[in-house]
Amino acid sequence: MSEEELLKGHAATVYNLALRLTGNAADAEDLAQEALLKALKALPSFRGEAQASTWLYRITVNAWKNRVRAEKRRAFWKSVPLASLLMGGRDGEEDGAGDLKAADAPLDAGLEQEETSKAVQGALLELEEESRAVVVLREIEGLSYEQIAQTLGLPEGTVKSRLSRAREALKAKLKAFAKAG
Amino acid sequence: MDAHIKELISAYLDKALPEAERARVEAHAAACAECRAELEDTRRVSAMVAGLPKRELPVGFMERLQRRRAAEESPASAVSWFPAPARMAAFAAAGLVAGLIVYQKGRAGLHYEPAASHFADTRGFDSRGVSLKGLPEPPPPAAPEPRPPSMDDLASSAAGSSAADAKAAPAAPAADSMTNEQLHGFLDQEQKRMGIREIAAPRAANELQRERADGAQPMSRAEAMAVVRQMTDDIARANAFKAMKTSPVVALDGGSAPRLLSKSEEGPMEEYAAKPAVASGAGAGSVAMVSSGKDSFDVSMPVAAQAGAAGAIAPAAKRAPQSSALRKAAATRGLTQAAPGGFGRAAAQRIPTAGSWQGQSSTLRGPGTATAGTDAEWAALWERLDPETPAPAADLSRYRAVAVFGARGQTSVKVLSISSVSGKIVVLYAAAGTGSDGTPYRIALIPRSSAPVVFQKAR
Repeated sequence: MSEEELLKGHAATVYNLALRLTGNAADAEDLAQEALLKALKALPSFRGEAQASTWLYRITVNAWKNRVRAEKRRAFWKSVPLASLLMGGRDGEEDGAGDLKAADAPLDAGLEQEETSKAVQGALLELEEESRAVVVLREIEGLSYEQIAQTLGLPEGTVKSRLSRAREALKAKLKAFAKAG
Repeated sequence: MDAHIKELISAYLDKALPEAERARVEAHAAACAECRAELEDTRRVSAMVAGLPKRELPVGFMERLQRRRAAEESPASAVSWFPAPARMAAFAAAGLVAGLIVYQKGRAGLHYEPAASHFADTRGFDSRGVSLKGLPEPPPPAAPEPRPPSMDDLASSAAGSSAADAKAAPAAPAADSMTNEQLHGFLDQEQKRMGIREIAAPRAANELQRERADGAQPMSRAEAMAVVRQMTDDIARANAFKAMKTSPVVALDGGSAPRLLSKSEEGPMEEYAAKPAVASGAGAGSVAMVSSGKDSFDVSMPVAAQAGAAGAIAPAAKRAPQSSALRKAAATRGLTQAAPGGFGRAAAQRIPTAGSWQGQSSTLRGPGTATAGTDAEWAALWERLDPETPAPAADLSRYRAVAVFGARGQTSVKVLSISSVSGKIVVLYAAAGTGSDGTPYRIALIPRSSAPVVFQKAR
């Protein structure tokens, strides 16, 4: 695979995955670029055994996981009073573990035109990160349990149970839409 | 409904069930309306997620990617300074004026040192954070404008910038605004000039973007200033932390000069408990309680009880970046509350110790550090230090132990401070002397917590 093939063929895939993981265009672009840069760097050692797409999924998801971890560590930045000033005193409403969800939750207006898509992306963002990754890889990218297990470094059984639970959660959140649709 | 069947539904839809189970689900669903509905709902939700629209790459994605790649590959340069180009697209020139003041002042005040290798976990502090190297490098020859831009340059910079930027973007419509491309070009230059490799994404900018979600709106001057101020705040914080890692001194509040504790100040204190000072056989070193009470390892820093203990961390956390000009500007914009305490909000909170031990171990070789949070770990720790003598009594349900060891042959190892910084427990220690025939150690009990412990060795 040449650099051009990598970029031409897969940049959009990586971007879409990033978009569903992060839930907003700005973070998605940043993440997608980070993942693609990593992939470009690692390209010489890419042996072509794995499918290029799964290889890229793994790079993207790992980059995203690192970010999530970093975000969690950086929770204390949020205590900077400036932020609360700019946010109109939003600071303090949430704390601890809720930070990430809160940070992720608002969607870019205009990203999802449709009500349903908006609700679905919103529901995805409410999932715990690893479950979100499982769902996105399964439903959107269409990976098999085995491929998801490899990409995320989880046992297949875990993928299966996560997915089942995540779907349950999504179903609860999307009840109104699911019935209507 | 059968709970077991319910668990299988998800895998059934993915055709990931073994034949026997698949048949069971089907048989059950045929007979049970509730399960059929469940199956249908799940299928529908699954389809909804799958039906999320695919997006095209944003306009300019590849160009930005290439630029970022080039930046990462050139030695002294920038990586995505602003993580959110869309929001920053119309960062007004007015905002840049504020930014420049901060940076030019900031440059003198900032004090970056190469990362100290003995710091166990720098990632914990901020993996995407500031990583600067050897600060005042001459601008790279490639930089189109090596002269540090002055405020007067801004208008022209905004209007045209360098040739490269002009190619990448149309000229700005007016002198008081910049296109995204121009802004990026300008910021790249700035970063090159200052030798900055990477600046952490300022949260405020991120959140603003998500909050407002109005990508094309220009930032107001006040917003821009606030964002820039937060960035410099972040830098100062990172700096202060770094300085703390590499310096054995702790600044006093109120600007007095920091000082090192002298030997006498740190010397033996009253008896605390347990372990008898025995020089046991086989050359095992003697053990003596050296301190007790709440305030051992006093670094003469009044406990930073208030969040406003500005500058409590280190000399590098100077207030320089918060120039009076900016303060004035902030005041006129009603932003005075923005930084009431100035910098140093990540003030170090000294941690009291409940007791400490020192001695020479004849069995332990080589320097190192350790923590013990359970009775077993506590026993194991002492076992390594002195297998002949039982571990002193300590309540590991209330305390945890931190231990530092000098190198073989050193005469002493001291804990200079134990403090809490940014959610971490930082143990600053120093080892000294030569000519002993053991390995010096020091162990302190601190209140139990799950905070990560990092050990820093003072020079």
